[in-house]
Amino acid sequence: MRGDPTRSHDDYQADIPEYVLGILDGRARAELLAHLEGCEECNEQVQSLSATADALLYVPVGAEPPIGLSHEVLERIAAKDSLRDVAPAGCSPRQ
Amino acid sequence: MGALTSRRGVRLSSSTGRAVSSHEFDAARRKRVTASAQHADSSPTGRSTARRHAARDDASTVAFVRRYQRRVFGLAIGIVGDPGAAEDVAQEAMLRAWRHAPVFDPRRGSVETWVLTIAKNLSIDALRKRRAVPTDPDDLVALARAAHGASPEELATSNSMGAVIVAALGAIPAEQRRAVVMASLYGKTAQEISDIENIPLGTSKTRIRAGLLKLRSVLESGEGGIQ
Repeated sequence: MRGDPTRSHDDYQADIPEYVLGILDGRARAELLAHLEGCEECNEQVQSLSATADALLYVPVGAEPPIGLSHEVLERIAAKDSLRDVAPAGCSPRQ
Repeated sequence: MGALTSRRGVRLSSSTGRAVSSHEFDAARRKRVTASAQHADSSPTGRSTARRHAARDDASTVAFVRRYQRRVFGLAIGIVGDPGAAEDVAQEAMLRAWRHAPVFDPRRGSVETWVLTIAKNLSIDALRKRRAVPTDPDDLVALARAAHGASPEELATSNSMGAVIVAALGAIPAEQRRAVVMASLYGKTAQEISDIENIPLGTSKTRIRAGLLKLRSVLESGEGGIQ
């Protein structure tokens, strides 16, 4: 099992909620990712808690978007496509 | 990402009846390219213009935008508060989702969850850039509760994803609920939550962890209600 040898399996497991919520800091995150390469139990925990984290995306209520939002998005999608079409090779459109 | 199914039969991740399947999503993009090619003339300008019109009018592109705009805008305004900023976020989120469709991995969840995650991350960035104070988490949940149905009975019998998660949030302790909402929707770290709530870092981490685990347990058991 990889990761920081001074940290136990339980230490890593305790970091999983913050990891799936996207708020674990860089170093702890990197160490957890290394541990996940060899720990099936933690991988299962990540999968299971990710579904709960995803469900939280549905807390804010859907809201009627401003008139013209879909038109603007469609225009921008179309503009990006046409820009990509005429741009010379190796020149990517602005992201 | 795995799927949870509550006793009310609502799948909380992976493909749902409302989400566009990855195959449809992929097919829509291919169809768009074909349709635009059919409209092309030989000059670069003409080809560009024709493609613009084809992409803008293509039924699959229109369906994609119309399907998600309400939920994406709702999520963005719930996080950033300001309608103008939310509109910018919603536009950018849908644009990025459409552009990056080829790298979408259906094993990691539904298209809808993916689009919403993009919108959430952009909303958190916008919140940080504007240094804005987000809606208090208790108020956000109260608004959602009011919108999804006022009574516990209504919530308990509802089969919408929003109603199910709001009911489940109502079943966990208030301080854990605040921590989980701030972490998951506002991108607040354990340290930031510790500062906001004026609690030790360890307590903040415990609230986030315990809250998310309890929430999973409530969702899996299909229980929920208002505390």
